[in-house]
This record gives sequence, structure tokens and C-alpha cells, in this order.
Amino acid sequence: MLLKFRMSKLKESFQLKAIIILIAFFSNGCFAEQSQYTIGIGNLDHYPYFSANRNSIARDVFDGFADSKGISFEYRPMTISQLHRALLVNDSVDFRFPDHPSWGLDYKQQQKIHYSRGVVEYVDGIITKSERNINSIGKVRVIGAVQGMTLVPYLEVIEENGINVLRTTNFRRLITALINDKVDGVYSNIHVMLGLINESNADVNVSFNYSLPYQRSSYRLSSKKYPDMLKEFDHYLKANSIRIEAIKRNYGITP
Amino acid sequence: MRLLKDTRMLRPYVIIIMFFLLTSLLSVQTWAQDSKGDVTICTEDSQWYPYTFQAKGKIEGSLVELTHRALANAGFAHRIVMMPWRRCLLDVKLGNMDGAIGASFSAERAEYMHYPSDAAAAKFENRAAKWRLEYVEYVALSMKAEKFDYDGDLLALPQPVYLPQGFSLVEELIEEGVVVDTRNRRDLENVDRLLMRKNGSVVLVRPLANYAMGRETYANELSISDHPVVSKSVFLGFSKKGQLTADQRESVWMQLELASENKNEILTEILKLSPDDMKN
Repeated sequence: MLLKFRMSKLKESFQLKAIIILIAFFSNGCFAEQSQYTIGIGNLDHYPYFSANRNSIARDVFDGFADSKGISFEYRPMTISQLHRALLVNDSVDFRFPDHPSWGLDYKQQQKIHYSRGVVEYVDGIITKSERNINSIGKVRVIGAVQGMTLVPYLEVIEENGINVLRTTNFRRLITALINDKVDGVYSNIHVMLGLINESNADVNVSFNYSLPYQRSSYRLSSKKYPDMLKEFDHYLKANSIRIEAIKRNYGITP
Repeated sequence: MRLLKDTRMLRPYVIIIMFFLLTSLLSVQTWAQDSKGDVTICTEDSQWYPYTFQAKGKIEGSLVELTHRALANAGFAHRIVMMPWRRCLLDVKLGNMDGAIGASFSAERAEYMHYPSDAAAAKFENRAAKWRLEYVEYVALSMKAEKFDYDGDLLALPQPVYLPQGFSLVEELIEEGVVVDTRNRRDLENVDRLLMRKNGSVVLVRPLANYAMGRETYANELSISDHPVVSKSVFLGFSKKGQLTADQRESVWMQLELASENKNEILTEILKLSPDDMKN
């Protein structure tokens, strides 16, 4: 009798535990909305646009959106080729920033990637030494650019004119190549590059060369898995446009 | 043997005669340049109303009229010919044409075409250039049912975007990742294509979009974006292999600036041409 009583108590306690475990499992795993997302972010410092280790326009905008949604973003700094793999092959990040439909087309191929509206506008173009007087593509033989960067407005010209591209792993080496005339010009975000050359105190006169092709566009947030989240982000950008313009002004970027 | 000897004797005379003939021919060519020989300018044939189009068999349009006035006032006998835009640009590149009407600035075109000196800077700064023919505004036409209003995001344009081939805007949109359809050569053919397929959008100059919306069949089904997709200066560009010197080009552009003071009157006259006169 006593044994029967103990057995039924044990059964009840087991059922209770099972119910608790099931509730805990479903509340954390299946039914609750995901609250933390990862953004793979370019590790080459493009301050004030985006940066892996300091505040920037992009980070302020993303964090503002995360606050409004009650979620959080974890930022993972990566090289451009790591970003391609993380988003397209490994699925190891939920979002990528910056991204653009024209970048890395060889990697993207048939994959369906979703893009947000532009987060912040930029101009990618060629910076040349003023003394070189390079005023046409015909005078360009070697362009410097960081690894993985797509030279969108030069894709056809490079082939047609037999232009070489010298790749470096960081901006410092790119600046050195420009100073030492190893390249005729460097292709980059013009605001970022001119700022870095200025900070380097190099004894060189350089300027953005708008006689040569350039791309005026916007950095976008991309995702393979979360198109709906991108739509919500787009809505946030539109609804908070005044706040976002203020963030850009705060970092010295005016429209 | 004697005949051979005579022939040999003649050779120096033949050479001297040929020398004089060549010299006189060259001097005629030089004279022709000095006296401003006929300048040939091409314009596109895609019915770019009201800027350059064909009506009742004549080449018309505000840009055509401005070009006529500028070249005439600068003292040039000239003729304007109409052809597909890509061929026009190719002929300017090869030097078969002295210039092209309505070319926007691009670094690639600047390799073979002279533009006014502020053309590149004006493009970068998103402003109208000083010696432009016109500052042109492009808008988007889309299906009314789509409820689309352009707000600055090119990727949000209903796609495909129908555009005529050879326009610099085609490259600019492709670089932004926009899907572009360039099967038709004319804007109004593209509007018909949009109506037939009921998806995508047509990006075209605002006056032509307004004209399209003036047709009842179009107005019932299409809507026009208020915010321009892009605005750009278009120029009278001159071939780098053409006959005009730097001073001559500058004098034409200066005359263009003077003629542009009457641009509104010119445009009013052009707009009096019934759109039905246009040869689609």
C-alpha cells in the first residue's frame, strides 16, 4: 500500500517536472521571438560611416532601431570575403553591413539577398595626387583598392583599357602606395580616404578626382533570412528620418 | 631605250607637279577651317519630346533650336542630323560628327567629347552647369494600382525599369542593382510596354511624362512620381576629333548661354506643336 502511494507520488512529481521542462523549452526556444541578432560588419574602419570598434552613424541607427523593437544586435567585425561567406555560405550572421546589390556579384550569383533602404549615402571614387594631373581614364594604368572591394564603375573599363588593380589589406598600405606612385590613384570612400590621408600627416597633396568615374550610392543592410525585419527597418528609417539626419550631422556628414 | 630615258627625265617634273597639287589641296583645307566650314551635329531619334524630336518630317525641339541659334550666332554654317543615340555617340567618337545634342556628362564620354569646363563638377555637386543646353528632370511612370511614389530609393522603383538603350541613366541604374529593360528605343514605346505588361516603371523626362499623362488611356491607368528620380545637365558636346578649336567651342557655348535667355519662349513655341504631330 505504502509502495503504491510512493509510486503515484513519484509519477505525479515526474509529470510536473516534465510539464515544467516543456513550458521552459517552448517559452525560450520555439514560441518566443528571437531577441538577439548578429550583424557582420566590415572590419576596415570607415569612420564615421561604420566602424567595428567605435560609435558610428550606422551603429547609432541600428541601436536606435533595436531599442524601438526591444531587440539587440551583436556586431561581428569581418573582412569583406569573410562577410560574403558568413552571409551566403555559413549563415553565421543574420545581417551584413555594409552591403550593396552591385557588390560581390561573383559570390552572390543566384542567391536571393534582401536589402534595406540606404542607411547612409557615400561616394566611392578615385583619389589622385594633385601633381599627377590625371584628368581622364586614358591616363590611369594602376588603381589601388583594398582586398574585396568591388570597383563598380570600373568593372568594364578595367578590362577594356587593360588597367591593373593593386590590392592591399588595409588603408595604410593603400596610402603608402599612392604616396610612392605605385598606383595612379586609390579607389575608396572619398570622405574616409581623404580623412585618413589628412590624419597621416603625409606630405602630399591629394584630391578626389571627379573627372574619373565614381559611384554615388548608399550603404544598405542585407539579409538572407530576415526580409520582414528589413521591411520593419525600412519603416523605421522613414518614420525617423529627422532623427537619422541629425545623427549624420552629428558625425559631420551633411546631405 | 630612248623612251625609257624620257620617262626617267619626266620623273622629277611629275614629283614637282604632285607637290604643288598636294600643297594647294592642303591650303584649301586650311582655308576651310579658317572660314568655319559646315559643322555637323547629331541628335537622337527617340522622340525626346520636347527637347529633340521629329514632327511633320522636320527635326524640332528646344535643344535643337538653341543649338541652331548658338551655332549661327557664332558664325558657323551647320546641319543637324537625327540618328539612333548610340550611333550618334559613336560618330562623335570617330570624328564623323562634330558634336552631339543632349549629352549628359560621363567620364567615359569625356574621353572622346569636349564638355564645358564645369560639366564634371556640376554633376558631382548635383547642380545645373553654366553652359548647359538644359537641366533635365527624369520622373517615374508606374501603374496606378501599384500606388508607388518615388522617395529617393532607386531600388524601390517598380522593376524592370524601361529605358531606351544608350542613355547614361541605364548604366547608373544597373550600378545600383536595378533591373533595366532596354528592348525599346523610344520612351513612348516603353509606356505602351508598361501598360501591356502591367509591371515595372518607365523613367523618362518630365515633359514627356506629362504629355503621356495627357492621353486619356494613359491617365486612367498610370501615375507619375512627383519627386524626380534624377536631374542632370545635358550639353552640346563636341568631338575631340572634330574641326572646332577650343576658342570656337567656347564661343558656341557662350552663344548658347545668350540664346538660353529666351529658352521659355522657345519652349512655349515648341509645345504648341501638337503631340500628335510627333512621329512615334
